[in-house]
Amino acid sequence: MPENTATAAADSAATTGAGALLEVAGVRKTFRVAGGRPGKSRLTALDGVDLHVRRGETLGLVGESGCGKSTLARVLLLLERPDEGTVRFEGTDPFALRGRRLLAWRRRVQMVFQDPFASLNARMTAADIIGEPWRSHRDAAPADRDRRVRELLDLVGLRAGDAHRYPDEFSGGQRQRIGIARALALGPDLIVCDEPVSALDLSVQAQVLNLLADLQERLGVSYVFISHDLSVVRHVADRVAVMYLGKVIEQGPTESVFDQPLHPYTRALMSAAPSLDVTGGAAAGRILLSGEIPSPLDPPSGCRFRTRCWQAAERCASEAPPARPRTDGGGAAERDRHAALCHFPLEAAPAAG
Amino acid sequence: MSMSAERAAVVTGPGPEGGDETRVPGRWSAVGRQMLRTRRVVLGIGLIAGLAAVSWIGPLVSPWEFGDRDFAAFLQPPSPDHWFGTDNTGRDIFTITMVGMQKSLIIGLLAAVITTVLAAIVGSFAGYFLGATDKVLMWITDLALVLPSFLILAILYPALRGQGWLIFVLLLAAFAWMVTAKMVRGMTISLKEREYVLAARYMGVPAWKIIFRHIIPNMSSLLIVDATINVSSAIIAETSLSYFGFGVQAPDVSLGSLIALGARQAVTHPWTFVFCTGLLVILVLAVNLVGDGLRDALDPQSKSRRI
Repeated sequence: MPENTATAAADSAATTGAGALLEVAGVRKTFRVAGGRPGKSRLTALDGVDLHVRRGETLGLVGESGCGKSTLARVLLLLERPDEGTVRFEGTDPFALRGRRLLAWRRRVQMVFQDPFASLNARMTAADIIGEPWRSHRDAAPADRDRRVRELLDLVGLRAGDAHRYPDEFSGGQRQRIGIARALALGPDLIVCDEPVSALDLSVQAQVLNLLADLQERLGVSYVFISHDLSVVRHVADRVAVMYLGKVIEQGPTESVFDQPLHPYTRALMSAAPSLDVTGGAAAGRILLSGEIPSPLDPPSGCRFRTRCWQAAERCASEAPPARPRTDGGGAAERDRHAALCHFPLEAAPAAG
Repeated sequence: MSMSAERAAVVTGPGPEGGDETRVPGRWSAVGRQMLRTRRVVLGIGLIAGLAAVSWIGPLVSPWEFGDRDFAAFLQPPSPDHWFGTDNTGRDIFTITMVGMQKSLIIGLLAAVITTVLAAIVGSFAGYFLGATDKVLMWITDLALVLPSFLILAILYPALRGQGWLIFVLLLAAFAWMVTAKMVRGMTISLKEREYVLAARYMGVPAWKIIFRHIIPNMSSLLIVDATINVSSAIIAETSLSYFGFGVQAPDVSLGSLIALGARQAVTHPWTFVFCTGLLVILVLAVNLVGDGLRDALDPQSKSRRI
């Protein structure tokens, strides 16, 4: 198994398209809830999640708050161990690793956090923050750390002179660039971005997104891009996975999912996003969901979404829907086929707008 | 903030830069300026520095040595010969008061530093690990909190008096760290949820390093304020124990043991009592002024903050 692939980005082209870099299958994670009623004391955060990410690809992860996005991110970062299911990273199960091998593996998945004000220690300089990963991963540390810090700063569009400044002295966008440089310090293959731009000004968002795209092109790094902002996901993601109550209910190539959502929830989610389409058609197609997300302590039987779905039938309550691919395949390869967990997928979308 | 403009749009080359160092003042220099703008802090620091200087320089300029006795002057009021007068064995009160203040200052500062370090370590480990570590550490803390520390010190110290005054400092610290530790624990529980701690955990930084690198430095303002306040409580604890004869033992003197000596004749020969008591009051007041000022400078939410 490849252990030390800090520079694996270089040979990414060779493996692209072959196997997935990251493969998540049937991952379940429940949490014990203090003071819950008997039998209702376990919160199901993830309920059989299947995902895969290829090299150099961006997977957009969309969903309302509380749907399990962040728990999934924590599983990918090995901060939570799944109760069931497998996580494979180039065929290796990282949860089976121990000690030095685990530490070496950790280099390959890094994270960019949501809040650039909370994710940087205000008592450390930019150089210390970016170089912190090397203090734990000594064999991945470059010989000349100062030079590497300057290179990384340059890579994320900051100046070498910024190395000795403290986070207080930077703007939100600049702080997020420092966070990205820190994530890049160990030369990861995959970066989990947890809402990396939602705390930033709109004008700065685009710059940070472009930086991420630029880095992907240069370094061949893959992203799992978690966001609730559909327009951002549409902009950056190659493929999209939509989560609802701990399940990935729809997954497929970005264009296919956005142009023709199969799952009623995806459709409702998209109609709720504000649109700049001033032709007037968008408002007519707006779908308002009634009710709240059901409690993950007591999820509905069968289809998770049936309590809020306008086309729910008896079958939805009794039988959990299997993954149904889009009949024409969405124009993608077998593995990446656009599919949704629904008994009655919205095959031919009503002529909205 | 002059740096708010996104400058990244103009990506500069990798060449050496240095001409454009528009430094925003760092946090500590800002705090320093804020402190110096507060009159209380300046007054407090000035008083402490003055008292420390006098207590070390005083015995050098005084014509009398610490052990000297003037057998021609017992219980004499202040005079050009004996600036603070003499006591009933002919000792020069100025000299012994200065030496006593030295000891009180050293004991107060040392005990405060040890207290704060101990509290920071116990509190942050309890708060970071929670679970069993927390239970054990907090059980010890609560135990130390309910024990009558004054009585224990009074009983314990005379038994150890042969070991010198350093052991007294340790004993003082051993019964003063609990409240700070509980505070630190609470702060740690909130700090450990910060994303930079999560980031460090994910990088594989060991827990104790996270505590010393990320958690404790981010409580530094609280710890500094607390250490300052601990100085005055340590001085008070030391003097009260010494007053009752359980603290600093002869031939060493501290402000407390001097007050105890002077108190017996405070009415008839006030100079034996007034000077050491007055200096103690001024010292504690000065330390508290600095502590208050520091808290105001470091805590933006402090109510009594004034610019």
